Parts: sequence; structure tokens; C-alpha cells
Amino acid sequence: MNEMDQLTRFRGEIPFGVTPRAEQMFRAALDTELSSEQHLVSPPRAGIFGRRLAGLRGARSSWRYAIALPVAAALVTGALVAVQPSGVQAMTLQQLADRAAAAALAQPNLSAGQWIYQVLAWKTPAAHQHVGPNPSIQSGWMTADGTITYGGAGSIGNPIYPYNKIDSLPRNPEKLDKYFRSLDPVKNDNYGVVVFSQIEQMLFAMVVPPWLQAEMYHALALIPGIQVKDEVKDILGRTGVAFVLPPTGQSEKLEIIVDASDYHLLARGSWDNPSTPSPDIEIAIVKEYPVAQLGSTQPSTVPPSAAELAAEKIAFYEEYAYYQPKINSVAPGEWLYRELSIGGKEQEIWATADDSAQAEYVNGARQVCARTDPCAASEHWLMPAGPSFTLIYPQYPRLTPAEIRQLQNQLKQLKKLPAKKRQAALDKLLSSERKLLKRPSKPLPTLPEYPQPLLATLNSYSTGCTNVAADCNVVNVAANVLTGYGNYPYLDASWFLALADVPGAGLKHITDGAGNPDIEFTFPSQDGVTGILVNATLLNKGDIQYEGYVEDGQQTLVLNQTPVSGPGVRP
Amino acid sequence: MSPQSRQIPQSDADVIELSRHDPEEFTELFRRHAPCIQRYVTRRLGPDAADDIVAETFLLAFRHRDRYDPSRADARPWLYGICTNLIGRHRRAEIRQYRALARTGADPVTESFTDRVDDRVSASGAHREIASALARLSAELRNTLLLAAWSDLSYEEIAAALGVPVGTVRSRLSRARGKLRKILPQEPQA
Repeated sequence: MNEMDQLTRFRGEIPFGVTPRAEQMFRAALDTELSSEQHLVSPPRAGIFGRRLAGLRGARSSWRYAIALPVAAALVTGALVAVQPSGVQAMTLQQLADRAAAAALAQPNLSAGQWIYQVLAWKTPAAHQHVGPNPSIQSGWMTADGTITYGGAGSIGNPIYPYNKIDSLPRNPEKLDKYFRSLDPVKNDNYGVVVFSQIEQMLFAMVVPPWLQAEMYHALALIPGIQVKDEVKDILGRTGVAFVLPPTGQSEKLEIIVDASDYHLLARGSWDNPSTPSPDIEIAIVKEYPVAQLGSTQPSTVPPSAAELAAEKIAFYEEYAYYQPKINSVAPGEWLYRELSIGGKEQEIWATADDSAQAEYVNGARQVCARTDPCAASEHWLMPAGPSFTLIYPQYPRLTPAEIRQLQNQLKQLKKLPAKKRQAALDKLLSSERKLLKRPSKPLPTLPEYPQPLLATLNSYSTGCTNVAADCNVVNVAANVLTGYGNYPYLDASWFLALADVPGAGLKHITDGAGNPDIEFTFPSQDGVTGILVNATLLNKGDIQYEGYVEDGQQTLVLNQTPVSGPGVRP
Repeated sequence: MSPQSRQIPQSDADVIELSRHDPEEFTELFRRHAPCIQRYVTRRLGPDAADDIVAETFLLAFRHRDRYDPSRADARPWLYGICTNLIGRHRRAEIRQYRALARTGADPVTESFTDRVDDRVSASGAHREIASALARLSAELRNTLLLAAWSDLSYEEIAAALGVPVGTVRSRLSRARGKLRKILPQEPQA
């Protein structure tokens, strides 16, 4: 069986078919849509549409699509009708382009790893707006090179245009215009909508460098039929000037609004019905500015530190790249063998995956100690303090193999029943399975994702150090956990994004005691762990491997970590 | 035109064409394709998010039916393209679920399909590795690979759905399959 066959079977138990809920949601939304359509030839037949539900949840999602739509539309339609050139308004197109370009060029150039905080306001068509405020607000963080996004910022891992090719875009509006035209695979003779929407998508879903923004405004001015509209208000009530692309038979009316006084980018809108005064869909930039770190909302142009850039690299590979997990997955009670090098001296230690018990050989005799045993007090634990296994890996209920076998047997018995009794028995079986599988009503507690709250949580575990203000507990706990169960099956980048934000965190390149080139995250606290090591060679290849930590000038390295059948068993 | 006198539409393009004059015809497109779209989205995101995305996919398709190229008889690439865009919004949730499966062996996505006890049990041990590999693919590789594995679209249709050349689909697939192959346990040839 090859990988495609295995993938085809993966989650294959999910059946074909529409759920009643999806169907009702579609019909209710369609119903609303139809009642607002003006060119109906025949009204909907009575009774064909289901009961109107509360409506589409997450209606703002239509935004994501709406942004991408003009290009998609250009893909599926063979021809677009030519846009008629129009008269010039109070401000000339050239003036608007020049001023917007100048405003763009006045912005700072940001380094690739700089975090950007973004807050957007989304106005969706009334017909789609059943729940929640309109406009709705979406906020999040992204890096200036688009490698990582958190929350609702950025173009969600699928940039409209690859960031690494931005530098090679033409630095000339005619050539840029021609290039964007060439992105249209159906080669329409009218390309205005293709160029306009490419530009608006990039401006609103990506961090576009100032020089390119400037070229884009000039390129907008080259689109045939494009108009300037003064005195427009965006959804937040701000006064602006707009580039307007009038509608054609096959494309919507589109606009990009810049601020009327300083010409910075404000909003974009699109019309389903060009005769209405305000756009049906509008996205406005409430805030978008560089911040010092992920999770911060304070404007700052402080560039990312070397430690933060290294952590971002880890986060990028964790999110997007492939790396081979060292240990695929382990059950909490499963035993792991670890070979450590502490100050150059090798030591073997066994521990259960959730660190509830530990074992080692002392003078040739195997000693096993559970956390609950009397020996626990005198045991030197590999992970003396930190968040519990279940806090890092919330354990949602699942069926045990025995339960599955039992259900299978019941199913077999059920097939022997006469047809009449079968349905009732099946219902009973399903309800008992559902009961076994019962999921908690709310998500189980876990660690915070963003650096600052994670640092605060980790700092609350006492490791006996005193310099709490310098996050000494954070560093000690992180070293504990990464040496133990925080290190498999995946190494979560959140650890490093938080560690890099410990005040005074630095980065060194070293060769560790096992001869591996490492990066060392360094910390100012001299109270316990002062450094955390990650394999540098592997990181350059997109693989993340924690190597160990430095305490009192002495390295503790994890040389090997393997699941084994029991305490004292070597792999 | 009364329903009786109407010809039975042969292709999706015909249905969409009819729906331009009689919007209600669009429900025929839903009837035809929502089952496979729902299955696809559910396999990626689980049943809860799937309901929303299926409804929204068809609503967006409806709103933009005027732009549909009538020379494309089959609307599935168009619909899969729309739902792929919508799935992109849930990228982190999707990846989290793959990771949860890889870590625990329990799949939050399939958990509620309780009437298929047999299937769940027979699921090969490789599903953790598959989940682990899927979590690591870039969004574009994952979109391409899963359309190839879970929809019945041809390479040309996948290219149309994702708006990329067919050569790009081929190269993405070969990269994605290579990555998957590396992580899956080697099984003896039958």
C-alpha cells in the first residue's frame, strides 16, 4: 500500500452526505439572498426553503473569499467588458497616485522578522450578517515577511504573492502593471480588474514594503477607466479619497480609499449593487503598525533581537516545514529511556512519558520511584518543577482498545438480531459509545499560546530560584520540560517565542560537548539555567532539535531519547 | 416556463445558466455536489466547521454564478476552489487536530462518526504518522495533496480549482508525496 492509498483511507469513515444543519444554513442564507435580489424572474416556490435559522456563523469569512474573488472571477470568465474612461474629478488621478505614493515612501522599511499588529474592521453585506456586530473586528500579528501569522492577521499562510519574490518585482509602474496583467491566465483583453484586485489583495492581506506600495499606487493610476472620488467616508467614518474602478457587466465596482489628509491606506470596498452609496463589503485598517514582540499591542519600531529571530525561525519550521518527529507519540504511562551527558559525564535515566515515575541503576541495582512513593522526596528528578503533562497535552477522552473490542462484539451480536429489533439495539449501542466518548463541554485547560501570558504562567512554578523578576523560573521550568515531556512528539515553538522574550535574552553560537554546532538562547539570570541549546545544523535544514541546557557553566545534553518496554530496559 | 415543460439539465453549466433566470435552480447544484464537498471539508476540519463552510461555499457560488464560465460543464473544480479558500481560514485549527491525532491516537475529526465502529478499529496504525505529516505540509502542498486524494478531481481540475498551472499541481504532488513517504512506516510489497 503506497502513501496515496494510505492517505485515501485516512478518515475514510466520514460518509458522503450533507448534514441537515449545513443544508438548512444554505437554504436560509439563499432565502435571504433571493429576497434581496432585484432581478428575480420568478419568486421562490413556497415551502422549498427551510425554516430560517439564526444564520451563517462566522459571516465575516466571506471576506477572505471576497478579497480573492475578482481574480477568481477573471479565471472563470472568458472575457470582461471594457471599462469606459471617465471624467477627471477634483483631484487628478496623478495627484492622488503621487500623494499616496509619497505617504507610502515615508513609512519605515521593516526588517523581515518584525512583528506587525493588525486590527481590521469588516463590514459584510446585510444579507450575510445574522450574528454579531457589523462591522466586526479581527486582530492578530504577523511578521513583516509573512512567515508567521497569529490570530486573524495576514493572509493565513497562503500569501497572494510569495514574499520571497517581492524584491524582484519591477520597480516601475508600467512594468508592474504589465506583470500583474500577465498573472491573468486567461489573458483578458480588459485587464483593469485583474491589476486592481491583485494590488488591493496584496495591500490588504500582506505587509508590502514602502517602495512597492508606491509603485502600486502609480500602477493603479494606469488602469483604463479608473476614477478618483473625493470626500468618501470609510466604515469607521474617516474621510478619504478613493481610487474607484467602475463596474462592468462582469465585474463589481471596487475602490481603495486613502486618508484625505495624509494619504495613508484606509480601506477597500466592493459593490454587488453599484447603485448603492456605500460598498456591500468593506475592509478598513483600524490599526497596523510594528510592535516589539508577538502579542504586544504597543507601537514600537525596535527590531527583533537575534534570539527573537531564531525563535521565529523555529516557529516557521514548526508551522510550515516538514520535520521528522523523533518520537511519534507516547501514552502517558509509557517508559522512555534517556541518555544524558551532564558536564561530560554520561548518565542513563528512565521515566514515564508523563514523568509520574523515574528509574535508574544505582551501583548496578535498578531503582524505580513513583512520584507518589516515599522515595520521591529524596529522588533527584529530571523534571523537578513545571506544568503537568496534561496541561501541555490535554488528554481528551478516547476509547480504550478493550472498549473498542467490546463495542465490536456488540455490533456482531447485533447483526444476528431480527431486523425489527436491530434498529433499537443499534441506537442503544451508539448511545453507549457516545457516552464512552463523551467530550468535555469546554476545552481542557492548557498553556497560553502567546509569549507574555506563557512567561507569566511559567514564572508561577517555583524552582527555588530567587531572581523571579529576571524570569529565572521561566528558564528553569523550560529547561526541565524540554528535557522531558515538553520535547515530544513535537517541539512547540511557543516555548522559544516566549524564551526569546525573557528580558535580556540573547543568542550565541557554540559547539556543545557532544561536538554539535548549537544555537544557545542565553539569559541574564545566573540563578539556575543560563542557556538553552538547539541544534544549529538541523535548524538550518528546517528541523528542530532541542539539545539541552547550561546550568552553572555545565551542559546537560540529551544524547538519546527512546520509548522502551519498561524501566531499566535499554533500547 | 413551468417545471413540467423544462428540460432536465445535462450539465452543471446548464444548471447555473438556468439559475441566472430562476435562482431557485441553484439548489440543484447543491443537491448534486454538497455531499462530496461536505465529506471533503469534514475530513479536513471536522463536522462542526464543515457545516458552515459547505453552506458558505454554495452561497458564494450562488452570488457569483453570473461569472461562471459556461464552457466548463462540471462545476466541481469551481466549488472545491471556493471551499479550499474557506478552509484556509481554519488552518491553525486544522493543524491542531492533526497534531492531536498524532499525539494521542484519537482523532477529534472522526470521533463523532460513531456508527462506523468497524472502520475506526480497522484504521491502520499509520494514521498518526499521516496526521503528523499533514500537519507539516505547507498550505499549498496540503491543499493540492488532499484534493488529489480525497476529491475525484483530475490534475487538470485541481489546477483549475487552485488557480495554478497543471505542471504546478504535478510538482506539488510529487513534493508532498515524497514528504509523506518519508514519514510513513515502510510496508512490505504485497
